[in-house]
Amino acid sequence: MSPRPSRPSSFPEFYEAEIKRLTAYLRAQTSDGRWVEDIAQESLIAAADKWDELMTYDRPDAWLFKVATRMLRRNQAKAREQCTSLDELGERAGPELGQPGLLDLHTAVRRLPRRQREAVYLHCVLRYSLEEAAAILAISESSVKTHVRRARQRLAELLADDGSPRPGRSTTRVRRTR
Amino acid sequence: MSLDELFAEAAREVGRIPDVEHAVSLDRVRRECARRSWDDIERARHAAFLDSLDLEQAAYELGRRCDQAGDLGEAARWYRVAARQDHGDAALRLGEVLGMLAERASRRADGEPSAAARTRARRDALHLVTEAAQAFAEAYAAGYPEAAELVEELLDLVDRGRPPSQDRGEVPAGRGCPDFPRWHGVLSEAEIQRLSSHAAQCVTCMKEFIARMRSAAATVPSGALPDPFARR
Repeated sequence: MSPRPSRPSSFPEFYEAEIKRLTAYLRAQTSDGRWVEDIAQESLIAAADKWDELMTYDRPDAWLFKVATRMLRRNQAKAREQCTSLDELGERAGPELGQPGLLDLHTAVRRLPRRQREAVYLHCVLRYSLEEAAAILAISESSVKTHVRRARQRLAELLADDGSPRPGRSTTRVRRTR
Repeated sequence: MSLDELFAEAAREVGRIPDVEHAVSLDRVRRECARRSWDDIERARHAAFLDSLDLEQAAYELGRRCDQAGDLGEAARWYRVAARQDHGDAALRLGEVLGMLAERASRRADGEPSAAARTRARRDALHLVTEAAQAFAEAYAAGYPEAAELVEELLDLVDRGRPPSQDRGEVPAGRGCPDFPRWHGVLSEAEIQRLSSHAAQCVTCMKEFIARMRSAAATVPSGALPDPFARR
Protein backbone atom coordinates (compact mmCIF):
# COMPACT_ATOMS: atom_id res chain seq x y z
CA MET A 1 0.00 0.00 0.00
CA SER A 2 1.40 3.43 -0.80
CA PRO A 3 1.96 5.36 2.41
CA ARG A 4 -0.60 8.03 3.21
CA PRO A 5 1.29 11.13 4.27
CA SER A 6 0.92 12.48 7.76
CA ARG A 7 1.22 16.24 8.26
CA PRO A 8 4.82 17.03 7.27
CA SER A 9 6.50 19.77 9.26
CA SER A 10 9.06 20.85 6.67
CA PHE A 11 9.31 20.99 2.90
CA PRO A 12 12.00 18.25 2.68
CA GLU A 13 9.72 15.99 4.73
CA PHE A 14 6.84 16.82 2.42
CA TYR A 15 9.06 16.10 -0.60
CA GLU A 16 10.06 12.71 0.83
CA ALA A 17 6.44 11.82 1.52
CA GLU A 18 5.15 12.79 -1.90
CA ILE A 19 7.82 12.37 -4.54
CA LYS A 20 7.25 8.65 -5.13
CA ARG A 21 3.47 9.11 -5.33
CA LEU A 22 3.81 12.11 -7.60
CA THR A 23 6.26 10.30 -9.87
CA ALA A 24 3.99 7.25 -10.15
CA TYR A 25 0.89 9.39 -10.75
CA LEU A 26 2.48 11.44 -13.51
CA ARG A 27 3.93 8.36 -15.20
CA ALA A 28 0.50 6.78 -15.22
CA GLN A 29 -0.91 9.89 -16.88
CA THR A 30 1.61 10.43 -19.64
CA SER A 31 4.25 8.51 -21.51
CA ASP A 32 6.23 11.70 -22.05
CA GLY A 33 9.19 11.60 -19.65
CA ARG A 34 9.94 15.31 -20.19
CA TRP A 35 6.53 16.26 -18.86
CA VAL A 36 6.89 14.00 -15.85
CA GLU A 37 10.13 15.76 -14.88
CA ASP A 38 8.98 19.27 -15.72
CA ILE A 39 5.64 19.02 -14.00
CA ALA A 40 7.06 17.34 -10.91
CA GLN A 41 9.69 20.07 -10.69
CA GLU A 42 7.33 22.99 -11.29
CA SER A 43 4.66 21.77 -8.92
CA LEU A 44 7.20 21.08 -6.17
CA ILE A 45 8.78 24.51 -6.67
CA ALA A 46 5.30 25.99 -6.35
CA ALA A 47 4.81 24.01 -3.14
CA ALA A 48 8.20 25.16 -1.81
CA ASP A 49 7.34 28.78 -2.62
CA LYS A 50 4.13 28.70 -0.67
CA TRP A 51 5.21 26.21 1.97
CA ASP A 52 4.40 28.55 4.88
CA GLU A 53 0.78 28.57 3.79
CA LEU A 54 0.69 24.99 2.58
CA MET A 55 1.85 23.55 5.89
CA THR A 56 -1.35 24.82 7.50
CA TYR A 57 -3.50 22.83 5.04
CA ASP A 58 -5.12 19.58 6.14
CA ARG A 59 -3.99 17.91 2.95
CA PRO A 60 -1.07 19.75 1.34
CA ASP A 61 -0.54 16.67 -0.85
CA ALA A 62 -3.98 17.17 -2.40
CA TRP A 63 -2.94 20.71 -3.36
CA LEU A 64 0.23 19.35 -4.97
CA PHE A 65 -1.69 16.77 -7.04
CA LYS A 66 -4.25 19.38 -8.05
CA VAL A 67 -1.53 21.71 -9.36
CA ALA A 68 0.30 18.86 -11.10
CA THR A 69 -2.92 17.63 -12.74
CA ARG A 70 -3.77 21.07 -14.08
CA MET A 71 -0.25 21.66 -15.34
CA LEU A 72 -0.34 18.35 -17.14
CA ARG A 73 -3.73 19.08 -18.73
CA ARG A 74 -2.43 22.47 -19.83
CA ASN A 75 0.62 20.85 -21.44
CA GLN A 76 -1.43 18.14 -23.08
CA ALA A 77 -3.92 20.63 -24.52
CA LYS A 78 -1.10 22.75 -25.93
CA ALA A 79 0.75 19.74 -27.34
CA ARG A 80 -2.40 18.41 -29.00
CA GLU A 81 -2.91 21.77 -30.66
CA GLN A 82 0.66 21.77 -31.93
CA CYS A 83 0.68 18.02 -32.69
CA THR A 84 3.77 17.53 -30.52
CA SER A 85 2.34 15.20 -27.92
CA LEU A 86 4.18 11.93 -27.47
CA ASP A 87 1.02 10.51 -25.93
CA GLU A 88 -0.80 11.16 -29.16
CA LEU A 89 1.91 9.42 -31.12
CA GLY A 90 1.59 6.45 -28.80
CA GLU A 91 5.25 6.60 -27.93
CA ARG A 92 6.58 5.81 -24.51
CA ALA A 93 9.39 7.52 -22.75
CA GLY A 94 10.90 7.33 -19.30
CA PRO A 95 11.51 4.27 -17.17
CA GLU A 96 8.65 1.94 -16.31
CA LEU A 97 7.69 0.94 -12.80
CA GLY A 98 7.45 -2.37 -11.10
CA GLN A 99 7.16 -5.91 -12.28
CA PRO A 100 5.82 -7.29 -15.58
CA GLY A 101 2.15 -7.37 -14.53
CA LEU A 102 2.37 -3.80 -13.35
CA LEU A 103 3.90 -2.69 -16.60
CA ASP A 104 0.65 -3.84 -18.11
CA LEU A 105 -1.43 -1.94 -15.56
CA HIS A 106 0.45 1.31 -16.17
CA THR A 107 0.23 0.85 -19.92
CA ALA A 108 -3.46 0.04 -19.66
CA VAL A 109 -4.13 3.08 -17.44
CA ARG A 110 -2.48 5.30 -20.02
CA ARG A 111 -4.85 3.91 -22.66
CA LEU A 112 -7.83 5.27 -20.73
CA PRO A 113 -9.47 8.61 -21.46
CA ARG A 114 -7.80 11.30 -19.36
CA ARG A 115 -10.52 11.84 -16.76
CA GLN A 116 -10.78 8.11 -16.18
CA ARG A 117 -7.05 7.62 -15.77
CA GLU A 118 -6.79 10.54 -13.37
CA ALA A 119 -9.71 9.33 -11.28
CA VAL A 120 -8.78 5.65 -11.20
CA TYR A 121 -5.16 6.28 -10.26
CA LEU A 122 -5.98 8.77 -7.52
CA HIS A 123 -8.73 6.63 -6.02
CA CYS A 124 -7.62 3.04 -6.61
CA VAL A 125 -3.82 3.27 -6.40
CA LEU A 126 -3.06 6.38 -4.34
CA ARG A 127 -6.10 5.67 -2.15
CA TYR A 128 -7.60 9.13 -2.14
CA SER A 129 -11.24 9.06 -1.13
CA LEU A 130 -13.83 9.98 -3.76
CA GLU A 131 -14.26 13.32 -2.02
CA GLU A 132 -10.52 14.06 -2.07
CA ALA A 133 -10.17 12.95 -5.70
CA ALA A 134 -13.13 15.18 -6.59
CA ALA A 135 -11.41 18.15 -4.94
CA ILE A 136 -8.15 17.42 -6.78
CA LEU A 137 -9.87 17.03 -10.17
CA ALA A 138 -12.34 19.88 -9.56
CA ILE A 139 -15.33 17.72 -10.45
CA SER A 140 -18.20 16.33 -8.38
CA GLU A 141 -17.87 13.20 -6.28
CA SER A 142 -20.46 11.40 -8.39
CA SER A 143 -18.48 12.21 -11.54
CA VAL A 144 -15.35 10.71 -9.97
CA LYS A 145 -17.36 7.62 -9.09
CA THR A 146 -18.61 7.32 -12.67
CA HIS A 147 -15.12 7.76 -14.13
CA VAL A 148 -13.68 5.18 -11.74
CA ARG A 149 -16.44 2.69 -12.62
CA ARG A 150 -15.89 3.19 -16.35
CA ALA A 151 -12.12 2.99 -15.94
CA ARG A 152 -12.33 -0.28 -14.02
CA GLN A 153 -14.57 -1.76 -16.68
CA ARG A 154 -12.20 -0.71 -19.44
CA LEU A 155 -9.11 -1.86 -17.53
CA ALA A 156 -10.68 -5.26 -16.98
CA GLU A 157 -11.17 -5.51 -20.74
CA LEU A 158 -7.68 -4.30 -21.55
CA LEU A 159 -6.04 -6.63 -19.07
CA ALA A 160 -8.14 -9.63 -19.95
CA ASP A 161 -6.85 -12.39 -22.15
CA ASP A 162 -9.68 -14.57 -23.40
CA GLY A 163 -11.86 -13.26 -20.64
CA SER A 164 -9.47 -13.98 -17.76
CA PRO A 165 -7.33 -11.33 -16.09
CA ARG A 166 -3.70 -12.00 -16.82
CA PRO A 167 -1.84 -9.46 -14.72
CA GLY A 168 1.02 -10.89 -12.70
CA ARG A 169 1.88 -13.76 -14.98
CA SER A 170 2.27 -11.84 -18.14
CA THR A 171 5.32 -10.83 -20.03
CA THR A 172 3.16 -9.90 -22.96
CA ARG A 173 2.08 -6.30 -23.16
CA VAL A 174 -1.50 -5.17 -23.41
CA ARG A 175 -2.41 -5.29 -27.06
CA ARG A 176 -2.12 -1.93 -28.73
CA THR A 177 -5.55 -0.67 -29.46
CA ARG A 178 -4.79 2.64 -31.04
CA MET B 1 -5.02 -11.71 -9.82
CA SER B 2 -8.10 -9.50 -9.58
CA LEU B 3 -8.10 -5.85 -10.54
CA ASP B 4 -8.23 -4.84 -6.87
CA GLU B 5 -5.23 -7.00 -6.06
CA LEU B 6 -3.43 -5.47 -8.99
CA PHE B 7 -4.20 -1.97 -7.72
CA ALA B 8 -2.97 -2.96 -4.25
CA GLU B 9 0.25 -4.31 -5.74
CA ALA B 10 0.67 -1.12 -7.78
CA ALA B 11 0.18 0.91 -4.59
CA ARG B 12 2.87 -1.12 -2.82
CA GLU B 13 5.12 -0.70 -5.83
CA VAL B 14 4.81 3.09 -5.58
CA GLY B 15 6.48 2.99 -2.19
CA ARG B 16 9.34 0.96 -3.64
CA ILE B 17 10.34 3.35 -6.42
CA PRO B 18 14.10 3.82 -6.02
CA ASP B 19 15.48 7.31 -5.47
CA VAL B 20 17.21 7.33 -8.86
CA GLU B 21 13.82 7.01 -10.55
CA HIS B 22 12.25 9.98 -8.79
CA ALA B 23 10.92 12.48 -11.30
CA VAL B 24 13.04 15.21 -9.73
CA SER B 25 15.51 15.29 -6.86
CA LEU B 26 15.18 17.45 -3.77
CA ASP B 27 18.55 19.02 -4.58
CA ARG B 28 17.34 20.06 -7.99
CA VAL B 29 14.17 21.58 -6.55
CA ARG B 30 16.23 23.50 -4.00
CA ARG B 31 18.75 24.70 -6.59
CA GLU B 32 15.97 25.86 -8.88
CA CYS B 33 14.19 27.63 -5.99
CA ALA B 34 17.44 29.37 -5.05
CA ARG B 35 18.12 30.40 -8.64
CA ARG B 36 14.63 31.81 -9.08
CA SER B 37 14.76 33.66 -5.78
CA TRP B 38 17.25 36.03 -7.47
CA ASP B 39 15.20 36.36 -10.61
CA ASP B 40 12.14 38.55 -10.05
CA ILE B 41 10.86 38.15 -13.59
CA GLU B 42 11.08 34.38 -13.44
CA ARG B 43 9.30 34.35 -10.08
CA ALA B 44 6.56 36.64 -11.32
CA ARG B 45 6.13 34.48 -14.42
CA HIS B 46 5.85 31.34 -12.33
CA ALA B 47 3.35 32.96 -9.97
CA ALA B 48 1.27 34.16 -12.91
CA PHE B 49 1.33 30.70 -14.45
CA LEU B 50 0.14 29.15 -11.19
CA ASP B 51 -2.65 31.69 -10.90
CA SER B 52 -3.68 30.97 -14.47
CA LEU B 53 -4.21 27.28 -13.63
CA ASP B 54 -7.46 28.24 -11.94
CA LEU B 55 -8.71 30.14 -14.96
CA GLU B 56 -10.33 27.22 -16.76
CA GLN B 57 -12.35 26.30 -13.70
CA ALA B 58 -13.35 29.94 -13.27
CA ALA B 59 -14.33 30.12 -16.95
CA TYR B 60 -16.39 26.95 -16.56
CA GLU B 61 -18.17 28.38 -13.52
CA LEU B 62 -18.90 31.58 -15.42
CA GLY B 63 -20.23 29.53 -18.31
CA ARG B 64 -22.53 27.65 -15.97
CA ARG B 65 -23.89 30.86 -14.52
CA CYS B 66 -24.64 32.27 -17.97
CA ASP B 67 -26.10 28.91 -18.97
CA GLN B 68 -28.44 28.92 -15.96
CA ALA B 69 -29.42 32.50 -16.72
CA GLY B 70 -30.35 31.43 -20.26
CA ASP B 71 -27.60 33.43 -21.99
CA LEU B 72 -26.41 30.63 -24.27
CA GLY B 73 -24.12 32.79 -26.42
CA GLU B 74 -22.15 34.02 -23.42
CA ALA B 75 -22.20 30.55 -21.87
CA ALA B 76 -20.67 29.10 -25.06
CA ARG B 77 -17.98 31.77 -24.93
CA TRP B 78 -16.87 30.80 -21.40
CA TYR B 79 -17.24 27.06 -21.92
CA ARG B 80 -15.07 27.47 -25.00
CA VAL B 81 -12.32 29.14 -22.95
CA ALA B 82 -12.40 26.30 -20.41
CA ALA B 83 -12.68 23.54 -23.02
CA ARG B 84 -9.62 24.87 -24.83
CA GLN B 85 -7.61 24.14 -21.68
CA ASP B 86 -8.71 20.51 -21.62
CA HIS B 87 -11.71 20.90 -19.29
CA GLY B 88 -13.78 17.84 -20.19
CA ASP B 89 -16.99 18.97 -18.44
CA ALA B 90 -16.83 22.30 -20.24
CA ALA B 91 -16.39 20.51 -23.58
CA LEU B 92 -19.48 18.39 -22.97
CA ARG B 93 -21.56 21.38 -21.94
CA LEU B 94 -20.17 23.45 -24.83
CA GLY B 95 -21.36 20.80 -27.26
CA GLU B 96 -24.83 20.86 -25.72
CA VAL B 97 -25.07 24.65 -25.73
CA LEU B 98 -23.85 24.89 -29.32
CA GLY B 99 -26.36 22.21 -30.28
CA MET B 100 -29.15 24.33 -28.79
CA LEU B 101 -27.87 27.42 -30.58
CA ALA B 102 -27.71 25.44 -33.83
CA GLU B 103 -31.29 24.35 -33.33
CA ARG B 104 -32.33 27.97 -32.87
CA ALA B 105 -30.45 28.97 -36.01
CA SER B 106 -32.08 26.13 -37.89
CA ARG B 107 -35.55 27.23 -36.74
CA ARG B 108 -34.73 30.78 -37.68
CA ALA B 109 -33.74 29.55 -41.13
CA ASP B 110 -37.13 27.87 -41.57
CA GLY B 111 -38.85 31.15 -40.82
CA GLU B 112 -36.77 33.29 -43.19
CA PRO B 113 -38.76 34.60 -46.16
CA SER B 114 -35.89 34.95 -48.62
CA ALA B 115 -33.77 32.09 -49.97
CA ALA B 116 -30.53 34.02 -49.35
CA ALA B 117 -31.36 34.64 -45.68
CA ARG B 118 -32.39 30.99 -45.28
CA THR B 119 -29.07 29.84 -46.70
CA ARG B 120 -27.16 32.19 -44.39
CA ALA B 121 -29.02 30.97 -41.33
CA ARG B 122 -28.46 27.34 -42.32
CA ARG B 123 -24.76 27.99 -42.75
CA ASP B 124 -24.69 29.49 -39.26
CA ALA B 125 -26.39 26.36 -37.97
CA LEU B 126 -23.88 24.16 -39.78
CA HIS B 127 -20.93 26.04 -38.28
CA LEU B 128 -22.41 25.62 -34.83
CA VAL B 129 -23.02 21.93 -35.45
CA THR B 130 -19.41 21.49 -36.59
CA GLU B 131 -18.05 23.12 -33.47
CA ALA B 132 -20.47 21.17 -31.30
CA ALA B 133 -19.31 17.90 -32.87
CA GLN B 134 -15.71 18.84 -32.11
CA ALA B 135 -16.62 19.70 -28.52
CA PHE B 136 -18.41 16.36 -28.12
CA ALA B 137 -15.36 14.59 -29.54
CA GLU B 138 -13.26 16.35 -26.88
CA ALA B 139 -15.70 15.34 -24.17
CA TYR B 140 -15.74 11.76 -25.47
CA ALA B 141 -11.95 11.65 -25.38
CA ALA B 142 -12.00 13.07 -21.84
CA GLY B 143 -14.11 10.14 -20.67
CA TYR B 144 -17.76 10.99 -21.36
CA PRO B 145 -19.11 8.24 -23.66
CA GLU B 146 -22.57 9.85 -23.57
CA ALA B 147 -21.11 12.48 -25.91
CA ALA B 148 -21.52 9.89 -28.70
CA GLU B 149 -25.30 9.92 -28.28
CA LEU B 150 -25.36 13.69 -28.25
CA VAL B 151 -23.59 13.73 -31.61
CA GLU B 152 -26.38 11.56 -32.95
CA GLU B 153 -28.93 14.16 -31.90
CA LEU B 154 -26.87 16.67 -33.82
CA LEU B 155 -27.18 14.51 -36.92
CA ASP B 156 -30.96 14.75 -36.69
CA LEU B 157 -30.58 18.50 -36.68
CA VAL B 158 -28.32 18.43 -39.74
CA ASP B 159 -30.73 16.13 -41.57
CA ARG B 160 -33.73 18.34 -40.83
CA GLY B 161 -34.52 20.92 -43.50
CA ARG B 162 -31.32 20.39 -45.45
CA PRO B 163 -30.68 22.94 -48.17
CA PRO B 164 -29.18 21.89 -51.52
CA SER B 165 -25.60 20.69 -51.05
CA GLN B 166 -24.07 23.53 -53.06
CA ASP B 167 -25.63 26.02 -50.61
CA ARG B 168 -24.51 24.39 -47.45
CA GLY B 169 -20.83 24.05 -48.29
CA GLU B 170 -20.81 20.31 -47.62
CA VAL B 171 -17.97 18.09 -48.67
CA PRO B 172 -19.40 15.75 -51.30
CA ALA B 173 -19.36 12.13 -50.09
CA GLY B 174 -16.21 10.26 -51.03
CA ARG B 175 -14.20 13.39 -51.81
CA GLY B 176 -11.48 14.09 -49.28
CA CYS B 177 -13.00 11.60 -46.84
CA PRO B 178 -10.49 10.31 -44.29
CA ASP B 179 -9.87 6.58 -43.90
CA PHE B 180 -11.55 5.25 -40.79
CA PRO B 181 -9.37 2.94 -38.69
CA ARG B 182 -10.29 -0.73 -38.40
CA TRP B 183 -13.42 -1.47 -36.38
CA HIS B 184 -11.69 -3.19 -33.49
CA GLY B 185 -9.27 -0.29 -33.02
CA VAL B 186 -9.78 2.46 -30.48
CA LEU B 187 -9.74 5.96 -31.91
CA SER B 188 -7.13 8.30 -30.50
CA GLU B 189 -8.13 11.82 -29.46
CA ALA B 190 -6.44 13.26 -32.55
CA GLU B 191 -8.31 10.83 -34.80
CA ILE B 192 -11.61 11.64 -33.13
CA GLN B 193 -11.02 15.35 -33.66
CA ARG B 194 -9.97 14.90 -37.28
CA LEU B 195 -12.89 12.62 -38.07
CA SER B 196 -15.46 14.71 -36.21
CA SER B 197 -14.51 17.90 -38.03
CA HIS B 198 -14.78 16.14 -41.36
CA ALA B 199 -17.93 14.24 -40.37
CA ALA B 200 -19.75 17.45 -39.49
CA GLN B 201 -19.56 18.37 -43.18
CA CYS B 202 -20.04 14.96 -44.74
CA VAL B 203 -23.17 13.01 -43.96
CA THR B 204 -21.74 9.67 -45.11
CA CYS B 205 -18.80 10.02 -42.76
CA MET B 206 -21.00 11.45 -40.00
CA LYS B 207 -23.00 8.20 -39.99
CA GLU B 208 -19.82 6.12 -39.87
CA PHE B 209 -18.40 8.34 -37.13
CA ILE B 210 -21.52 8.00 -35.00
CA ALA B 211 -21.62 4.25 -35.49
CA ARG B 212 -18.03 4.06 -34.21
CA MET B 213 -18.75 6.25 -31.22
CA ARG B 214 -21.89 4.31 -30.33
CA SER B 215 -20.02 1.07 -30.58
CA ALA B 216 -17.33 2.42 -28.27
CA ALA B 217 -19.93 3.81 -25.87
CA ALA B 218 -21.62 0.41 -25.71
CA THR B 219 -18.53 -1.10 -24.09
CA VAL B 220 -18.97 0.93 -20.93
CA PRO B 221 -21.67 0.32 -18.32
CA SER B 222 -24.99 1.98 -18.99
CA GLY B 223 -27.44 3.37 -16.47
CA ALA B 224 -28.18 6.65 -14.83
CA LEU B 225 -25.37 9.12 -15.24
CA PRO B 226 -24.72 11.77 -12.64
CA ASP B 227 -24.91 15.37 -13.68
CA PRO B 228 -21.30 16.57 -13.87
CA PHE B 229 -22.55 20.14 -13.79
CA ALA B 230 -24.51 19.83 -10.59
CA ARG B 231 -23.52 22.41 -8.02
CA ARG B 232 -21.28 20.85 -5.44
